[in-house]
Amino acid sequence: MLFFSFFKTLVDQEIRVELKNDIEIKGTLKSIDQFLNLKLDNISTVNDETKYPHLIAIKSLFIRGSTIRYIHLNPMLVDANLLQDASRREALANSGNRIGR
Amino acid sequence: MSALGTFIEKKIKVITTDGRLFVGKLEGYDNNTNLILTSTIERIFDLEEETEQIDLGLYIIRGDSVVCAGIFDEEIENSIQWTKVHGVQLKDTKNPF
Amino acid sequence: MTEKSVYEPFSLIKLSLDEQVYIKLRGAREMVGKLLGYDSHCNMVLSDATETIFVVDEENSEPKTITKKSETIFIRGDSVILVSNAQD
Repeated sequence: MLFFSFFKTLVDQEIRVELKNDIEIKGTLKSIDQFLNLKLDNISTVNDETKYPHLIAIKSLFIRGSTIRYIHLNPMLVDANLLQDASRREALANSGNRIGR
Repeated sequence: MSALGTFIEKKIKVITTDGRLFVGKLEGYDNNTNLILTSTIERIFDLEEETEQIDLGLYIIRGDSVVCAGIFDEEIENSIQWTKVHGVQLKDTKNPF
Repeated sequence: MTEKSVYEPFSLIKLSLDEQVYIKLRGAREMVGKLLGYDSHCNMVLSDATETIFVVDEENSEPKTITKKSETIFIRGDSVILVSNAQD
């Protein structure tokens, strides 16, 4: 749930997504779900536009989470300490579920 | 997955994990991103050859093959002469090494 | 009930929070950067990251590397092969 909550704080921000098929897409994050599927508005492809006519005219794009390789973020949107603490708490919560197995 | 809910009954472009592009009207979807498209066409780009378009009709696309799906501006779409457009073959999403 | 004192693999990653990590990824890629966050899927966020891609040059068939830098990057866990602490 950690990164689901993290990305919810980034709604309405511009992000750059690199997919596993090497396409890079810039856009405004409008929606995210528990699978980390994304919906972006205001799309533009970062790679050479003339090579990728596939995404011409697209206004709003749903991206399946499983096909994402990386998401590039604006560092000002990320609170490092908050994220580190949240990771520690998440790790603790996960280990608590395993005791007594 | 309310994101896909806003696309229902609209024409969408879908890219699949094997690098293909489909255009069709989204009739239904589920939590696994399985899609039901009507009036589907597949558009095949090439760097040298003319663009090919295949009519497919009613199509079900399995969720784990979906890379992305987007609604588009139909005016812009209809104004483009697709046979003249060239493009590279999209890669697949499997990175084995 | 005794506390588990045996370290699980993920607790080694926890030790690397705020430290430099080296990640080997699918697609002949490596990433080095400061670990800001992670989860049990190995999804991670790094700051000041450098990605190295190992590729074969199209023309002369020689191996070469491409490096890319990123101020803040989210890495999806299903691409991760291994995570280690980086010394440099």
